[in-house]
Amino acid sequence: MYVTRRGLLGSMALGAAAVVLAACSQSAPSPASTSAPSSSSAPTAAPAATAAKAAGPVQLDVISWNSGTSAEAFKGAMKGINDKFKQKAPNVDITFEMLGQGATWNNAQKTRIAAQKVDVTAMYGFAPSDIINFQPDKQFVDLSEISAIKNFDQTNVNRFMSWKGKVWQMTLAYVGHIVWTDEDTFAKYNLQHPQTYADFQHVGDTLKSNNVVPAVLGGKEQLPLNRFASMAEMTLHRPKHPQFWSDLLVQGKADFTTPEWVETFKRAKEFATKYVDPNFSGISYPTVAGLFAAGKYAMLPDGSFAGGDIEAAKPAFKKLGAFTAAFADDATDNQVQPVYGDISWAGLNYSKNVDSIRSWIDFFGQKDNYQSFMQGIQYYPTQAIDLTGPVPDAEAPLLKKTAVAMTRLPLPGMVFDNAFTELLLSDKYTPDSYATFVQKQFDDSKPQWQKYIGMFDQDWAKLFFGS
Amino acid sequence: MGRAAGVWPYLCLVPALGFFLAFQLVPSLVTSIFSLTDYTGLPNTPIHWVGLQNYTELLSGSRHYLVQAIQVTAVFAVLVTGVQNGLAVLVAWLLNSRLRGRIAVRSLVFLPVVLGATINGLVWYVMFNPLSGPVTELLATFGVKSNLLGNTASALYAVIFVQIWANLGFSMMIFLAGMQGIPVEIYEAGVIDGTTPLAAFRNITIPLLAPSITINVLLAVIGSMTTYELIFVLTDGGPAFTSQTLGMYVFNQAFFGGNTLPGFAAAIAMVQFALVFAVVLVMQYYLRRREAVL
Amino acid sequence: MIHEESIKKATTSDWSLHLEMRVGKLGAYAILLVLLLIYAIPLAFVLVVAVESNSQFMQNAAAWPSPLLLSNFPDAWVEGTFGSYFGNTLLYTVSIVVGSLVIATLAAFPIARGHVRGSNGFYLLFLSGLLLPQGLIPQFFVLNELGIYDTRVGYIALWISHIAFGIFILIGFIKGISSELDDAAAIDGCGYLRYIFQVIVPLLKPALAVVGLITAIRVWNDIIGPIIFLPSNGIKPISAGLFQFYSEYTAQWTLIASAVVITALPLVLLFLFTQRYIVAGITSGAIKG
Repeated sequence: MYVTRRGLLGSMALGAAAVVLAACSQSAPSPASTSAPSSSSAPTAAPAATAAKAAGPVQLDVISWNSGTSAEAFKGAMKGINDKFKQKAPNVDITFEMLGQGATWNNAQKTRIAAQKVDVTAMYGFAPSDIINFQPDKQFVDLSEISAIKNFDQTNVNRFMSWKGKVWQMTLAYVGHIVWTDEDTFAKYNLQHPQTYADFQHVGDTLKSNNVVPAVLGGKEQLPLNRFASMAEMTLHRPKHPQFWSDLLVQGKADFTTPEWVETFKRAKEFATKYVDPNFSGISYPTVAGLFAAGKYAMLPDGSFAGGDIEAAKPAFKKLGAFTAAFADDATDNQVQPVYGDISWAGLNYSKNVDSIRSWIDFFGQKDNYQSFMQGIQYYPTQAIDLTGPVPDAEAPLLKKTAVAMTRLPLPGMVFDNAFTELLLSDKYTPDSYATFVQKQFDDSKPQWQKYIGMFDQDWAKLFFGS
Repeated sequence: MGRAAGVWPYLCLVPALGFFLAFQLVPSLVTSIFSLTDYTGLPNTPIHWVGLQNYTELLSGSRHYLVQAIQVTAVFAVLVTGVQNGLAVLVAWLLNSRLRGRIAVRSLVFLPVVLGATINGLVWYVMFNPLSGPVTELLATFGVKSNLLGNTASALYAVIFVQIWANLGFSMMIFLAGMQGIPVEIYEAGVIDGTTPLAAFRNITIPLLAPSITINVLLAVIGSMTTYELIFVLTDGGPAFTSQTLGMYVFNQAFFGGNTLPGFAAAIAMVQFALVFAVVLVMQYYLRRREAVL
Repeated sequence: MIHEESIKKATTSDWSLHLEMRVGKLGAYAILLVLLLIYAIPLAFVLVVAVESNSQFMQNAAAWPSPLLLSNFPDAWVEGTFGSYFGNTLLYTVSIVVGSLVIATLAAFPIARGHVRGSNGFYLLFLSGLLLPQGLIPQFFVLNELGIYDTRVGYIALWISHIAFGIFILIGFIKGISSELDDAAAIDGCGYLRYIFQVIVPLLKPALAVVGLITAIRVWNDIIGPIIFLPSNGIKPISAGLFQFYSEYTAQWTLIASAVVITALPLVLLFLFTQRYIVAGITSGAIKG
């Protein structure tokens, strides 16, 4: 043998090296959300932290996600409030960290909580899956009695901050799904914000005939399409089936094959095919705000939070506008904006400094502190205040009628694609066959989420959905 | 040396063993156990043994996605393994010569291996960018409108192309090593016999490369079934899940399925492990037999 | 020492020269050129994008950059706080590579030589490590219980535990080193550890270089690890920085490209520098001295 055994072994070993190189990107991970299963050392049921007021030095660790372009404004606003708080309670030292976005944030947050290395965490306004995943009545600090809660709009307290009759977090802002507009282009072609679907189509056709691509979506990451889907559902399906989501969550029953759902799928697909950049399936979501700001498109259906990103990208047009999507034929139906709760502060009840936590959160919710914070990040305020700036100016008229978006409603294990991914990104399904497909997925996944039916009752649904 | 060294050999083994057991073996076993529970990941909730429930759920409600992932992976694995290794052999053969500039080309081809999946993915995402990427513009000059990574028909193949591009260098190196181990006397004997270069390649080089072939094929197959970083950057498994391989599916469920419980994600990971293990076992057997025959 | 000069390496151009296949030579250069282009162009393009302005990127990415924004590099550096990331990555890479090599060598030697009872068992044990599914949650547990979660030490310890691969390779190479050397040393009264480090390690240099480089690449490009085990910003390495940069809300591709160049440069330099050893390592395993 000319190729020696050593040679063979050597190259095999090297080959195995490559095996491992390949295997090193092997992903059989489980999410890093974890805990010490049975040996929990922290006193978890200690909400009555009415121990003597901490006169000694207190350290509060606060974490939140990184909000992208508004991150600097966020940090600035936080610093402003924390400095003022320091004057009020000099013995309390606050460390604030931004731990990334999306999956990075989710995993970082869960591991911090599991390691009990955080006192206050940012949360989204409660959705059913938050209740299930975080169990606020077991993990969070009860905020029902702090004075600042009175400053908040009761509807928002009900739908974003409450569970089992108590308040578990303070939701500072909420966000919605709207269509951003380049008002300069709209003015140029004498277009108004559409009131009905016919108007919506007219706007699109006019723009197309003038060689302007009407709208853009960031389809590559697939998930961001849920904003588009949410608007279609809210205007077309919800008015005819206002109890759909409460029935789903309370009883576990849902019919995705009703004519209204089919119409929702149909118009979503139709609009995406006719009026959105045909390449949208390959456009990366983080770039759409920049593309829109550069004046390439007249409309951007997205979240209200995109406003800050658009402004930060220094728009090529002078005036920014927005309207609630008009997928329905009825103008009143089209006025309802889908919303969900955004940045909220929740305290962890294993903390040794529960008093300081309450104190800090309360301070945050006081009118002038709250106002300065919201003016900085410019999201929808959950208190009745006014904000100034091109983004709030565009958005304020759209907040008269809001309802909880479907985006965050699915329960853990529920296989229901709320972004209509396969419908919008491929031609595999027709609206009818897609409805059947969704229904099947939903039904087949029942064993996974069946256990949560019964957790949410009719009273909760009334409070959460507002009716 | 062995006996006389007394306890030293064992002591030498301890650090490696310690790290390995504590951070690799035991955690892996625990993960497999998690897949049999309804572990939620929360500090205060009790865990219940649920047996095979996660697996049955995987095969019912999520069956569509699992099956699709396996189908996509099959196409991915076959094409990547075949094309990448086929090209690698040819390229290695070429670079094994005294052509000028071969070292530069060799380094260049190997460079993506050094850069890593994320960077490679970013590079090609920009190249394929439907709005202004060079590939899109190039195709446009031929009148072809393209959105290679966003089109359900082409996304998977674009991803396969990049995967091959990124890993060709490694396979090539292994083949190079194998080729350089073939002494020139064999070829000279062939010349005397009057064999053509092509025949020499077929009858001498390839058979004697059998070990390298084994390694490369195994690597490519395992890699295809587990990789996710590159696909994540290029298409995130889309559009409409057409490029979602098994590796991507596991990754998405574990990290981005905010709605997925850890036990379920662990079950998917175990299924992936079982499949990889089975495939490796079968291929090992077949490839080793081939090697032995030659 | 292992010498390779005694064997003349077979090259294909010996072969073709033998038969004067000139056409073959032309074709070969053509293929070489195609390869060069397919590999150089995308990489060069990233360099071009890295110095473009964002608006130009959106309109006409493939053209020559005007204006030529070298400022993208410092911009990316600052925005992505690459300064601290770089330091962290260097620290991690060096300590993990050195640590892994030492521990792997120590373990590979007794196993390769059969000095411990059940050597085969240990061999298979480490082999299985190559295929194991990741146990990220339990790993978190272990680190947390040891109090080293979210610390540099913890991350380094975690990575060193990926030792199966290094051990596997080194065992293969050590088996190629004649055991007569061992016996000679034993007769001379050389200590076990001293023998390993003074005799075996020098002979293992190519193998160590290969394992070292591959480990360095894996550590350098690790994204998931920092997400889970290094949530604190100050201790993140560069891969996490690049990932975070990429997933920020308004992705400016020109800055991302600059970040990519910044991230890749050290790796590329390292590779070019150590190329000779790597290739020697790869090929020395296959040539009998």
